[in-house]
Amino acid sequence: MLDAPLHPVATFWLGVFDEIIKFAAVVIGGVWALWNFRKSRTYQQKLELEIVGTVFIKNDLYGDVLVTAKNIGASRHLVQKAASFIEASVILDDLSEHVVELFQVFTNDTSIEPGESITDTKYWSIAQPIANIVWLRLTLRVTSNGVEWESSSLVRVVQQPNTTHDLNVTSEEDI
Amino acid sequence: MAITFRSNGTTSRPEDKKLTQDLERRFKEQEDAKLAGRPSPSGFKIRTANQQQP
Repeated sequence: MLDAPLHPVATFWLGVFDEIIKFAAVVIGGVWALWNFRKSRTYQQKLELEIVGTVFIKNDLYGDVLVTAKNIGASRHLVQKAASFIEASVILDDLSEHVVELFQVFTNDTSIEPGESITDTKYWSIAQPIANIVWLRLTLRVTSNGVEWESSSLVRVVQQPNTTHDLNVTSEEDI
Repeated sequence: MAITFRSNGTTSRPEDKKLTQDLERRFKEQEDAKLAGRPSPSGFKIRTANQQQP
């Protein structure tokens, strides 16, 4: 009696419902995978740029920079020859900005494999007078296959401290 | 006193061909001016030791 089948009509509709659920799961899973694939742009060119540098004053203003481009995509990245630059500009105390130098970077590299990084270093000095320079802006621009990547860094230029410091010293007697 | 800076933000967009051409032109003008001994248009005297030669 317990092994007796359910109502034949109910069994039929349960089977249909089961097939619909399976079909919907496949469709939803496929759409999600496609959306995720397109959103993550896994096989498109993706670059991560990094600028690391130092600025200091030793009579003149000196700067050095290490720029890195890392391929974080899953396909090989082709580097467009002679189309990657660092633009170095100074911002003066009147907030005017002046481009002082263009550096061409990554000139020796033609491609970056997935997960690989390429680097380049540049250094320069700006002769006196530099007293009115407040900030230095470095903009890295990499161009390849119709896409450009840009990263910018702004660094405060700390002028040489005076030899006499104006410190407010409060003695215990004054308190 | 040395200031160390680091930046790893990235912006990507379709290439601006005019900007690329402008940068290439300015770079060429800059290198030509150096070879001719002309001062920088910014008025600052820049020294670079490891500039790539074309």
